[in-house]
Amino acid sequence: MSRKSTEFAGHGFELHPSGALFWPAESLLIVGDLHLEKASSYHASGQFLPPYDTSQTLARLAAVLAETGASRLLFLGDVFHDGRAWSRMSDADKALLSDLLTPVDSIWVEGNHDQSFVPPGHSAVTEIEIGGIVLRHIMDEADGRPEISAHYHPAAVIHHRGSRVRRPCFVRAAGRLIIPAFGVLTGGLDCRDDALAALRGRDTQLFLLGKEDVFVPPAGLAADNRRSRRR
Amino acid sequence: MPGARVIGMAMGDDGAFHRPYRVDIGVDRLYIELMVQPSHDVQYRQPPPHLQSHPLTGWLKDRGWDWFDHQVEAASQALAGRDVIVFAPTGAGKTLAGFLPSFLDIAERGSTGKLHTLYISPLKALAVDVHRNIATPIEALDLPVSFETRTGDTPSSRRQRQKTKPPDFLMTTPESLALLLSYDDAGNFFSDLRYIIIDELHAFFDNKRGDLLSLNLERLATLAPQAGRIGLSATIDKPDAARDWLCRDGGAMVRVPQAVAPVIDILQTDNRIPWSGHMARHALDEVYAQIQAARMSVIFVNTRAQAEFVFQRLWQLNEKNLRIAVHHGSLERELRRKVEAMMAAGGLDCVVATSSLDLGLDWADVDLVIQVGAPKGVSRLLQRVGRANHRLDEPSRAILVPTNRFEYLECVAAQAEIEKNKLDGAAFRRGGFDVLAQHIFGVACSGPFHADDLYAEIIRAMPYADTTREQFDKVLGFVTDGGYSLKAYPQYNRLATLKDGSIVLREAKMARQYRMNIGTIVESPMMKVKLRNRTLGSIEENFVVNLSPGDTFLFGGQVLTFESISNAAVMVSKAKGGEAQIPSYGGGRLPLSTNLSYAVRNLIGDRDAWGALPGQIHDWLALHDDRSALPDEKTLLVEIFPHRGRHHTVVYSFAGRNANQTLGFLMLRRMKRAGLRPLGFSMTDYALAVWSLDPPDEVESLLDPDIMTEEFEEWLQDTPLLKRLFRDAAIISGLVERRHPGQVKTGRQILFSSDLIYDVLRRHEPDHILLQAVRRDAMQGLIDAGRLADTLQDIAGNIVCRRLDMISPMAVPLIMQIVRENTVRSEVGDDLLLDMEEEIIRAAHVEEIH
Repeated sequence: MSRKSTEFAGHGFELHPSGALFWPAESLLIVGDLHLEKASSYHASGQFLPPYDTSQTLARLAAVLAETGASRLLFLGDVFHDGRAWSRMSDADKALLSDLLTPVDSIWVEGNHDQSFVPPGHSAVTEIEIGGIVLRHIMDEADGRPEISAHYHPAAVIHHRGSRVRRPCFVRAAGRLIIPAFGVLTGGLDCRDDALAALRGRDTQLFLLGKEDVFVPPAGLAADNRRSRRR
Repeated sequence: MPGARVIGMAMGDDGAFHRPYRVDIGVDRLYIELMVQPSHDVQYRQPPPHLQSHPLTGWLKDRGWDWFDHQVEAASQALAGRDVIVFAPTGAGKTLAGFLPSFLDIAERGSTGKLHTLYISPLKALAVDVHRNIATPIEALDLPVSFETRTGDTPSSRRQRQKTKPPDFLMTTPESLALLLSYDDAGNFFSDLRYIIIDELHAFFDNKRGDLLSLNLERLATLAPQAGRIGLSATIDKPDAARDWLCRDGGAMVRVPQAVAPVIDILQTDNRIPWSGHMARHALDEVYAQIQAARMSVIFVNTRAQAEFVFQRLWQLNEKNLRIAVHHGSLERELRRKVEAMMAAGGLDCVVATSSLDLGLDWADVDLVIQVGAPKGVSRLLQRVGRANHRLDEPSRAILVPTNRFEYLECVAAQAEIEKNKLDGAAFRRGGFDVLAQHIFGVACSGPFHADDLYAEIIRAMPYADTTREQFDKVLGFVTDGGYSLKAYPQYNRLATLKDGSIVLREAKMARQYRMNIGTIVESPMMKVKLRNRTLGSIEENFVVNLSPGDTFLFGGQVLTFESISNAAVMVSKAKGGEAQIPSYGGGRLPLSTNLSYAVRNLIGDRDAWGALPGQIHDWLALHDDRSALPDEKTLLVEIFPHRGRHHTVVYSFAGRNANQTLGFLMLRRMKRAGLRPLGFSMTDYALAVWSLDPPDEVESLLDPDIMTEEFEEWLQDTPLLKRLFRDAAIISGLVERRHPGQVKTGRQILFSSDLIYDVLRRHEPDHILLQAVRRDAMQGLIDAGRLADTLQDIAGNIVCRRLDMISPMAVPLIMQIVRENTVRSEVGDDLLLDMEEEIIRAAHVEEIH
């Protein structure tokens, strides 16, 4: 898999096709919105989604960690799909997670779904500042500092040669960087949604996730599809 | 018995025959029910004594009518305890043939206060119409028979009451039947059932709806073994298979011959017939002239978008103020009902309708049927044409209006097929496991059951006859807890096993969830369209997603402006006029019957047959022959040409849309492996166009039929076709719940995508029963592909490949469709994105140079 380099708030970052964000200078890997045990959360309502998402997501995380060689891992919220997820998690998956965490220093930023749950032995913070950048789960428009956040599971549709392609993406705009959702069963919110209105602008840059690469369309994000269409 | 005599026509004092002056619509409808043939074709025979003495016979005779032979025959078989199928063309008195045994039996037996006869039709509107039909004699004779309808449109208060105080005869749909069978008093409710009438039987053989119906019939056979089955079907080419599907041992078949062949003309227009597209823009003023001259006409179209368009344009031309209405499935129930009622009452001059008005509905005054857009199959055409003209001495009349040049050829081929009396092929299928899963859960809702007994029951249904016990157990496991071998959450199981070995719902309230999700029809997610407080209908979510405030679109015959989305409804206002984007509907696209598509190919390839074609079609084909080559029986034409910066490979297989789709996926994969960077494909019934960044050097390897069988399994795993089928199977099987229009989304975002679920399942448990189900479905759709493979085999070595500098005349419709459809092919999306980046780089270099 190949990563795309980009600059943000004076620091160099690498964007990974899995949706993970790597900060080489800090040896820090940032992931968000894993939503572990999402599938099993639906079993209570009689919808038996295949309960393999947790192990697949954790395997994916282990692979990225190995690939980047990061020594620090930051969870940017919503690691667990809900407050009872931990109790539903299998011992095998708990062991997977434990193996993954052992060699790294981990930082847990609270999300909104996970009800501030962190595994035993860890503690959560609402936000953290590193190198002048604040990292929190949900973007705070009132805060003027450079910020990295998650929560929105951003996705974008690109028009090219008469075809459309929809992919999850990173969004960088106006001093903010939003990372896509890392979990294998997570959906996406279109970047044109009003929730992300603050990010529209001529300098907005999207980074789309591919199977093995990250793709960079021309800069600029507008409110509706027609104006941002490319021929 | 009088000799040859015109039935049902009163003779006036002047010796001429007059149509009876209509005082009571019901009378005319029954009149239509009984008459379809000129007198010399009618056979009478002496009805058996119990029929002669029934008030119905006297009533008919008072009107100068009598029983048809096939009606008496069918009744005799049924009364003798045999299941029976009546094969008849439209309007041959099928309804009365179906109900006659019930009338006779209930006259003997009397009403028990429980359900006596169940009538099932695929269409709600038909159930309602048949209700009207049998109301006439019942009310006229004051017969002691109660009869009601029960469909999704029936108000819940009436549905409640029907459960506790059922009528003698109940008209319903398969989904409503499944619902009734899921109640815990189902055994009691059906215990006195005597007859089950299934109308439009042929409409059930080749789809999941039929799978579910056949399972429900076996359930009824367990609850009410004494109930006989009567099937009413159009004429098909495999009547024996139909009998196997419906009848238990000793089933009988009654065939009614086609009376007078209908007269089918193709509209001759002075205007230019378009090269592509499906709107009859060019012909509508001529169509208007036709409906003006007719008393009452029905204009059938193939898609809802066409219905909207034609309806709106006709009103623009409507200087004579004809009463024209529109009818399609997305309109609100009230609007549809109004149109149906007005038609029946003779209050309309013309109705523009999709297949929502198809299937068996008869109206008094329709004397002209216009089919806009090619009919897609002979049976369908005959069904629709049967609607028109019930003047005795004239055959039914229909006019075909092709919307583009290919369709013109299709219409010519259809005319020829009808003349030769060729029938469409009926396809039969193996039952879907997803449907079985839904059914098992429904059985559990009605009460405890034993696995052995249920298994024995379901294999009596023909689509499930070869289901192994192992497969059944896997489906049962899936219904219980999802059937995952690697993980389970038993606290959430839906089914539990009791000490005596019987299986029950773990919680009674789960039955509610089941009832909200019944059915095998999976629509694209729909949203309600609201004009202030009034709901106009539903529209596809995919369409709405592309709208911006201020955009206008056509719906329900008006141009509307999109304002916003509020509470999961699309808020609109009336637009001030101007051009509108027409709503596109995912459903409603009918595949062409294979016979017809090959007939078209042969027509094209045979220059001697062109004489009958109008000049513009002739010229178009000649131009194509000049620029490229003509497809014909013996060769497969493939064209390669550049267009708008991409390379197109067009294969003229004439194998029908489904087979072409399969071929498309296959070619996409092979071209990818060959490094040609394919981006997508589009297909019609005739041809397939794949576009790519690089052109192929040769096409033989892309179309090699041998490789098709070898890498089949592998290819099947990879293909997005499976994902599409999985989405439907996930909903039908109850893996995920349906989203109902207007259901307000919860606080969570878009919940989950079935594609993602498919990926996770495939990676961790590739033999899961649901994936097996989906592969089975794919194989069945690919039976067409099997036929395609045979074709490819036959012409192997006879591929005619033409490399052109530009698009060819016959390829135009296909390429224009690509531009319009804008298909997304995510599996090749990465190539597209890479190309996008390279283009940016190239552009940037250019900028630097300057």
